[in-house]
Amino acid sequence: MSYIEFKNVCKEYKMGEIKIKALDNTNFSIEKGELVVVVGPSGAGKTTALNILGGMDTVTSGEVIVDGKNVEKLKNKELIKYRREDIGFVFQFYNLVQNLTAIENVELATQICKDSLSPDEVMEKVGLKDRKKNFPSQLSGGEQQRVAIARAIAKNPKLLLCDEPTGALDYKTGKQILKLLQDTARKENMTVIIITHNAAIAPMADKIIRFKNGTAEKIEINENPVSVETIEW
Amino acid sequence: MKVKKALLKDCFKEIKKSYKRFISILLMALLGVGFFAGLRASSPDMVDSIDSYYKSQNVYDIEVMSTLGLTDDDIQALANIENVENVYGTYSKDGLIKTAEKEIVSKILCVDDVNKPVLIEGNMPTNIGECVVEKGFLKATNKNIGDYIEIEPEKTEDEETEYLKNKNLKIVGIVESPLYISRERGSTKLGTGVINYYIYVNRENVNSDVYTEIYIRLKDSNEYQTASTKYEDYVEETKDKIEAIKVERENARYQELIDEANAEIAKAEDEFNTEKQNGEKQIQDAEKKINDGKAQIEKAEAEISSNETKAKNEFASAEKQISDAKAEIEKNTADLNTKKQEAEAGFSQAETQKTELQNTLNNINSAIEMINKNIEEKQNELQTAETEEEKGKINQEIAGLQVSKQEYETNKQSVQAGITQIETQVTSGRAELQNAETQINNAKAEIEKQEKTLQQTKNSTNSQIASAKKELESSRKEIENAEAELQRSREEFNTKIQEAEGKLIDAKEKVSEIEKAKWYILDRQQNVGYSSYIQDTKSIENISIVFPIVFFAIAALVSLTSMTRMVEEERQEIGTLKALGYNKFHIMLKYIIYSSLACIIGGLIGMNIGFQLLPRIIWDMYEMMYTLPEFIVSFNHQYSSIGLGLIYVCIVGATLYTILKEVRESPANLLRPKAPKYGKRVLLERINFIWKRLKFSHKVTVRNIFRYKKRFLMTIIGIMGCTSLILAGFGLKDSISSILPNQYEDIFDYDMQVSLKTSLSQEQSDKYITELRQKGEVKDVLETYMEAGTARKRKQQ
Repeated sequence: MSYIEFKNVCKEYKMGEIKIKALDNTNFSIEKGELVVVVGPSGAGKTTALNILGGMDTVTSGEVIVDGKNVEKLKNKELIKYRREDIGFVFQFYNLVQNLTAIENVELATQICKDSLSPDEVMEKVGLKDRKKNFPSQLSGGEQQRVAIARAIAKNPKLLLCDEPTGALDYKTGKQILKLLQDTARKENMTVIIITHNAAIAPMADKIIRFKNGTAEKIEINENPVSVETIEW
Repeated sequence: MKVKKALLKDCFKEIKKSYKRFISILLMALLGVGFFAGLRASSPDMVDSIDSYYKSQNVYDIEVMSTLGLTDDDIQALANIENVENVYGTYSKDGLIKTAEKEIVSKILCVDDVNKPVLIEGNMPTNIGECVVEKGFLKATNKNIGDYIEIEPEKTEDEETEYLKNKNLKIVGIVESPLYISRERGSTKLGTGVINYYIYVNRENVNSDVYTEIYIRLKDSNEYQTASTKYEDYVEETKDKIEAIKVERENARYQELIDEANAEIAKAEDEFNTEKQNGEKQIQDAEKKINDGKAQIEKAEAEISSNETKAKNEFASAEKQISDAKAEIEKNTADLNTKKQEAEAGFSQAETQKTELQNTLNNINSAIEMINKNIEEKQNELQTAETEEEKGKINQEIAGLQVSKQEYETNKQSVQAGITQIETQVTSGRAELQNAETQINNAKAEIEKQEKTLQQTKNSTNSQIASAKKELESSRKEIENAEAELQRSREEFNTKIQEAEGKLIDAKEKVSEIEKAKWYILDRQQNVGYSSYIQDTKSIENISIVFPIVFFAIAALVSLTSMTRMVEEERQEIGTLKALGYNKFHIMLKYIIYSSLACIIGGLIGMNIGFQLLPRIIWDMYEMMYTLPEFIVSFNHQYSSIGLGLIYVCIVGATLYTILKEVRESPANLLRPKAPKYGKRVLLERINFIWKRLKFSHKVTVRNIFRYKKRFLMTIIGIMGCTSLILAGFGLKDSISSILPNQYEDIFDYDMQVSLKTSLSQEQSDKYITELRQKGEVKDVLETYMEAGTARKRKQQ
């Protein structure tokens, strides 16, 4: 059995009187320490799948198993604990708390975790040692995203989920962020899942999951992932 | 649960960042709590103020009044009742003060240890010539401290003693009485019927044998707040105890008065009886005197008539005697005349004899003379004779002559004796005659005299009798007068007796008419000023329940909208936190702290302002109606915590409501921007005919109304609230300002009211009313009759 398994997962939204099927019988599995890139057009169900995996959304039917735990069966409290300790989340728009400085944003995460890393160390790791006292509004997009990544990895999660981390960034900065994520995955042996609509970055991953029409259409295993620096798009 | 530092930091930063919102919530809390606490505290503050005022002035708990006055025995009886601490007997009366411009009716109270007036200026009255007044009195009379006033206490008809020993009083100070905290001074029988002011006099100045009021202070009554349920129960309990001795004391007082009156009647009766006896005796005496007088008159009459007859008899016998004597005198006169004639004859005989004898005597005398001549011649011869013998012869011749002479002398003597004898005889005869004549004349004179005397006596007797008769007549008249007088006095006496008897009966009737004493056991609630004050505190209390509700509702709505907005703004942040693994509580904490802080800070400031400000504002309004020396404002912990609690529930509740809705959502949802509310077709669209004609923006508006129901509702409620507040304001103004014309134009359409004295007779009042009607300025006069009555709840069977 894989580290993460998605088995026949369905997700339906109700928008008023209309039912939208976001996920339709999706199946995939991910091994521990893998760097996975999820690609697909908008509305294909990538984010829904990621949210379900991160314990931020529920399934309509199916099974989601992470490290032997049935996530879809977790109670509210357990779900919170799961989010708190097992998951690190990086958002497209960073989602930093504007009232808190960079380091405080990291602390916001570490303060609720048991085995968290030292915020200062993590800040150093993401290369923002000198900017940690700055407020998000004082930081550039890339810096903010780095803070967000720092916040996610400071929790020392089992799973780092990134939803379009470079979507709001320029090419160069995006590359830096992806590099950071790749490095983290490699160094910390962390399972990292990156959603992107940019198929070009797929070669950096160990596994590529292609979404289409609410289902994982194609799962490719990249035997020779390349470093981000070498990828051009 | 451990509060996370970073979260707290976020919270405080949030406050700093959105201070306007924070302050708006804070202000709502401030207003809500301030109004609630302030308004709620106003009533207790007012009660507190009067409570401490009454406590410091030792104001009564229970007042006892009686229709027949109260005595020291009553005081004793009341003092023995359980819970009664002090019993004060005191006096009060209405009085009239006349000044140059007007007549003022005043309540005359006396300074006592109970219901002590508060001295505002000057001194308390220390002697019977001094008094203190209220401030308004000085204004109304234009007097000052140090001026004098003349007061005339009310007097009932049968009252004799003056209520005040000194009626000309010097004003020495200004006071405020705890008994009259409102403008209401009560009613009176004097003047206009309304008491205008009160004055306090020294207790020594009062001259009354009964107390008009008894005031009672209860033990431990200072422990309770006035008008509180505990206090009222306590007073009520004691009142019941007083009620228990009431009948006994009423009867005692009644009996006392009856006894007094009876004793007086008995005394009067005694007096009446002695007077009656005296009068009767006097009348009897007078009668006896009259009878005696009559008897005397009769006796006198008899005497007079007997005297008259006696006098007549006497006169007759006297007259007869006189006539007898006269007859005798007549006879004697005749006898005398005969004797006279006889004597005359004798006399003439004697005369003849005498003449004879005279002749003889003459002869003798001539003889003697011849001798004497011879003797002389011889003597001459003797002298011439020279011889003795011649001398002897001559001597012899002389001697012979002497002898012859002697002889002649002897003859002469005898003749003379004869003559003398005759003469004597005649003289004696004549004397005898004379004598007899004189005797007769004397007798005659005597008789005449007697006759005269008789006549005189007769006259005098007759006049005496006449005068006696006259006297008798006048006596009789006198008696008659006396009798008439007696009759009159008798009548007078009878009417007087009747009168006196009537009076006695009246007095007795009055005694029977003495109404049984009736005690009135009152407490503070019967004091007009106090009770209206307490009622006003109650109405403030009611307002203070209603009014703050509006503020709480507004506070809740305002915080609901601002918190909703805030939560909506921070939807992503909430989602992020949730994604990071924060639980609901942690996330909510920020908003709870946020609103709690605003709420508590606002509330604390609000209650401090409210407790100070609102009671004072309210008191400012009530101060026009009530006179209290000091208004006490205190911090009321109960209301402050209730107010704060309520506003906390409103604001934090509203916050919880919005935040709970939000945190319940899944983080995935939260992270997505909130789906805009889907538009819906509205009913209006079916009415094509209207819908067609609407502009696009109008269509949007119509749809939005149903799309954002909450917003729409809030707008409606907001406008509703504001409109109703404004309308309420105008409505209040309107209804208050229409009270006056309603009351004084539609209900009371009189301009002047004249109270007639009950002592006026029907004709007098009719005459007065007719005069009134005839006055040009008077349009109409309506006569009415007014009487005070008491309505009691019928006791349930």
